[in-house]
Amino acid sequence: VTFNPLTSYEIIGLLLTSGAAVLTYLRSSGDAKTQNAAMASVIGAVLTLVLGLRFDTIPKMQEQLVQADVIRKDPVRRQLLEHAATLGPSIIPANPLAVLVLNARMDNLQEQFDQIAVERFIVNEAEMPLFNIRMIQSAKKTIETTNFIGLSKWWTEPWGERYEEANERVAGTGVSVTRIFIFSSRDDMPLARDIMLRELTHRIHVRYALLTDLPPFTGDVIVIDGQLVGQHHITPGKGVSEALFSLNASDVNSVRLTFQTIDTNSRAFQP
Amino acid sequence: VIGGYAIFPVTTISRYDMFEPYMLGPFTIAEILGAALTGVLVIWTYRTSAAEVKNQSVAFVAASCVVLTLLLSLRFQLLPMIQDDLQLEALRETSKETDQLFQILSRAPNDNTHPLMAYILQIRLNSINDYFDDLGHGRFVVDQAGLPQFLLDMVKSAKKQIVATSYAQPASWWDQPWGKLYESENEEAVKRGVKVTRTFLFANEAELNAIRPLLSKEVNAGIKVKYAFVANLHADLVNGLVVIDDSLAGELHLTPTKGVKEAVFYTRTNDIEGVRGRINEVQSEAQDLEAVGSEKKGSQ
Repeated sequence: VTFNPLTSYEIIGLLLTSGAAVLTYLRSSGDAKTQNAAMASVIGAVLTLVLGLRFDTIPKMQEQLVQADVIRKDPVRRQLLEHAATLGPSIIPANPLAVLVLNARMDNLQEQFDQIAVERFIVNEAEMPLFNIRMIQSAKKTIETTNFIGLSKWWTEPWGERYEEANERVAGTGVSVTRIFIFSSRDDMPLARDIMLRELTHRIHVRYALLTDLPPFTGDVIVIDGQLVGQHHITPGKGVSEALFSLNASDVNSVRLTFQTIDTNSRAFQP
Repeated sequence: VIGGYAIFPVTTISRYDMFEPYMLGPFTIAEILGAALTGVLVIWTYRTSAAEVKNQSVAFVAASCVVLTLLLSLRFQLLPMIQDDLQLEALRETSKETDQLFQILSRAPNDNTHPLMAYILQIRLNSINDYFDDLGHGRFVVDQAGLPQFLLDMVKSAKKQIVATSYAQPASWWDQPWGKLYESENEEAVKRGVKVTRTFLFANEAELNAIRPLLSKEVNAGIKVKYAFVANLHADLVNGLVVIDDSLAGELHLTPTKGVKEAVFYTRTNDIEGVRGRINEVQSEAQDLEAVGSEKKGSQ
């Protein structure tokens, strides 16, 4: 039989218990001396063990379960893990090509979680339409964004009308919306004239800039309430675009600075 | 708090903005309530006890209440929480995949996550959840972004036979850089002895003629090329289908403009036979490209 050594909580508790028992014995009178001292000992010992369990042993156990704790607190993560476990070996792909796809999905998920750990997240092309509308709707004070006409003509997309309406609606509720249209040359300006006019009539601050007037431009940026920033990226060769969003203070400062630089070099649109 | 569980939420919390609903700092709600109740009982005991046992009674009540509070907190709050954590830890043992998933899911803390971040995260988690579901049913989906590389790997993996139908818009597939790579990978497969048969589906003669150079190139490379017109086919057959070595079958999902959206692949024999059957039906309505060439020569 082996005994685990006592924890510091228990040693201190037992010392205090002994002290309390002696004190009780000395201060009690007559026949009650022994009874009172015994009672103090028992209560002290129980209290020591329970306190040790609660404030020493349990927290140490929890330290070992930090990972599980993160999953337990989020019903979606928990459900996913439990679901995967319920499926058991059937989620192990039999076909080697399915293994490749599974690995790619896992890598993608891992990348997303790694980014989230540093307050960033990636939105891919397929997710953008709904995400963009939600993002606009989430704005409370300001929306500052650029729109390079060479890369995107969102208003021609099927979801563009809903996106535009969302912008107009928040502008109507008092959110300051600033959109800077960026053109490769003045010849491209007619491409966006209609949407610029429409935005102007809906209290959106419409500005424009020519690419030649700007420092090297790598992609559209958006700043929501000065707290959430996004940068659009086109994957070279793949044609697949994605956007990196961030709440990280350093990214927020950097993207805000980029927007301010573009803003400084832009002009107000006057029809 | 009843039976150790919070019945009324302490505050309004969103799913991704959560803390332990029954914790307030380092103490549980039960402990805080227990401490308050202990205080009240101690005062009440002190006031109502006889002078000679005042101290003893107070000490006894205080110690008993503290012990009871801690035991209740341990039994109904902290230990169930730990038990839950241990159960989740145990799920790691189910398979290598669940262990990997466990590690990924526990990477980022979920406290105070921005709602938009939470929205995207939820989409990704739901997507992988669906993916596991599909795997359990012998199928898996490859999205548009992953499709080019996957199809190249798929053709490379063929050992005996590739049977396919093709209905994608040339601009969205064959004219793309990866479409050309896919084409050359098919030609490589023929060189290593794989029998490749592809049936192209067209709306009309004009479409057929527009893509004829590609078809001729395939024929010259040793690919057996057939063609059919969609008017002669049942709507279910008008799609991009593929079967590799009778071990993997796939079906393209196209956008309304015949662009490639995603593809579903099947690994179960019944499903593979189903796709194979559909390809056979298409082939029964199709003509060999060589035959068209000779017909034209004959008529000239």
